[in-house]
Amino acid sequence: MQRIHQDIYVSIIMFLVSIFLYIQTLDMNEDAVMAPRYLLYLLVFFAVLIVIGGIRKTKKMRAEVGDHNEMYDGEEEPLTGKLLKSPMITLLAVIAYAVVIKFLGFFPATVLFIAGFLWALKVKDWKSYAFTIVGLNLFIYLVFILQLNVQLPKGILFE
Amino acid sequence: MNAELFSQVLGNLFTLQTILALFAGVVGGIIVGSLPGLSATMAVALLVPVTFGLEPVAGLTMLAAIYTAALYGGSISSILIHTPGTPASAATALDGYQMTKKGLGAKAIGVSTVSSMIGGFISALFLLFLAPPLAKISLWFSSPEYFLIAIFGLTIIGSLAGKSMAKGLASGVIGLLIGTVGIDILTGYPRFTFGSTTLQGGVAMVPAMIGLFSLSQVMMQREPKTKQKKLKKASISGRVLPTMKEFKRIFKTIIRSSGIGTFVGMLPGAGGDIGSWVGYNEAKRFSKNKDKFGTGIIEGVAAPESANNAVTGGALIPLLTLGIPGSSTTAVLLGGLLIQGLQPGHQLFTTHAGVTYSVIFGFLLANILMGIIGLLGAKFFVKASSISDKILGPIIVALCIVGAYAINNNFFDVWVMVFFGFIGYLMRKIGFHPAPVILGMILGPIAEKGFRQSLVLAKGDLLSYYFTRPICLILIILILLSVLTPMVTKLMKKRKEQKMNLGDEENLA
Repeated sequence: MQRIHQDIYVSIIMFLVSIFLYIQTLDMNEDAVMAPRYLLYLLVFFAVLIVIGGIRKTKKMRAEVGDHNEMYDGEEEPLTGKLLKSPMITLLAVIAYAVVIKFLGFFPATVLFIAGFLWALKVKDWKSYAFTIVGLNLFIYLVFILQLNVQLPKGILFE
Repeated sequence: MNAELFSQVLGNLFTLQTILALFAGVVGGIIVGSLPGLSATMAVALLVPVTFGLEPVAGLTMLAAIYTAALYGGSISSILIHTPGTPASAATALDGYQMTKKGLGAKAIGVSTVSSMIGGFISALFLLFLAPPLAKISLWFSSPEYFLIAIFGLTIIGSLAGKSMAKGLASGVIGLLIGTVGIDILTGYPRFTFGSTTLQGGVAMVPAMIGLFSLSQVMMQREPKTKQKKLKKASISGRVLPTMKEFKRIFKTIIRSSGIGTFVGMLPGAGGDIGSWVGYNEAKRFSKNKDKFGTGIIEGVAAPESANNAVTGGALIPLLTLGIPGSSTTAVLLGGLLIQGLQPGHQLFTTHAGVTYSVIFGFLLANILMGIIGLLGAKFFVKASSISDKILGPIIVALCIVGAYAINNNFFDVWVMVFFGFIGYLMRKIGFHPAPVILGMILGPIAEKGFRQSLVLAKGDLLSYYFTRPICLILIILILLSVLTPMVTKLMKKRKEQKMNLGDEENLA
């Protein structure tokens, strides 16, 4: 399969999102709809510019001019499974952490999350576990509960 | 400022809460700044929820302290391991790292600390004396001016955009669209709420900021590290404080760079990185020993460090007086200001003068405290700068969750933060900077309200209404300049490169 620069996919997503949001504006009040509509036109305009740039970059890539990574700037990188694997696992861990907070409450869930995170990253030193878990929970307790009076979730199981 | 206000300021500043907040802001800022990959913006975003629960003076002083201390902290890793903690410290690495190689790392950190302290202090004085008269301009503002000021603020997207202007501007439009979510304030009509009552109040800004800047950063740290250098554990020994002779040698450079930094900070879109490079180049230009720059001389550290800390006070001037954030950090700071119920402009210096002047004096104190703590704790901060990101990751995630939740005691905000973390990560990977999204979210509603109110006031003749108002004309010119300048600079850079390439080819021929 011939390579396509990811900017083309990005602009397709931008078009689809714009269409979806435009449909949402159809039953809006005439005054309220003005700003969202013009912004959606602008988004489509930029999607067109990005697709044009994407086509140009794809042609360059296919002509094998230089290093493919030169087509990407700064933190920008081609989205590959290899690149995304660890960040997406981290995201799933964060989602799981939030779900566990709902059941067990903030502090027990935080202990589990930190221990699990450090274990997954192969941290072996027990002092790192102890200082991170105790230090962070103590900090959050002192600042958010004692100082700021935040009612952190206690969890469905303990309510 | 009268005596009564001054005593009120002293009363506000010297409370246990404010002093603790100031201290925590300075220490936290230096540590975050010194850790490569963690930015001042991320630290400010993460701590906005903490400041929300504090008194406004304590909260805002803490944010200002983090901002300036993080810029200084960036120099530590720049000097010791040649890896700038923040982009603003990149210029410091040139001479700072050379000094470390010569065994003068402690001295380089001492010079950087003293220069940063003086740079930040001078810029705070500019803020104190320039901001109040400038804020009076906002007295002449009505709906059209507010609309144009918001648009002017949005134009700095051009300079935040990176390589692709289209992607930068598209990020801004995405932020503006997110800003339209919720009940329309003028008609009471719900927009893009998808039947959710929680979304009727709009997308919560602070959880969105935390997700975009902090959670996305943790995700980036987990990428395969083929490109990243493994950092050496750094340590320093010897005298940190510069001698009187050395101080006299760098004094002129510090003062010049502080002036440059303050001025650059006031320009929208030009942040600490530009300030430090201009400061460095000017120091080199004025020096008798131009060829020694880059070999490890104290002037090469003093110039960028005083300039990048001076940028902070400069950047706070348009922020507090007109509500124009000049960089991503000041955009997040604007969010912190708004959630405390404080609107930038003249009122900050009249109705809320007690709070505003206290924060400005707190900022002055933060810079002095930063110098003292930096000099006394240099060895501790050097150790702190080598904390592994394996340990930092779960700490940042837990703070992201608790911060997003604490702002409204609402778990839905945690999901908003996670969603924006995911979006922020993907945006960074596909070349869309997250800062314009926040700018759009903050300035969009101001722009829309101003525009729709001016439509009513114009009674059908919008153009002549706008063009007959002198401030509107000035703002329109500024907007055009702000939009065109990055394009012209880019074009000039391209032409210069083409010329250089042609020259090279001719030489080869």
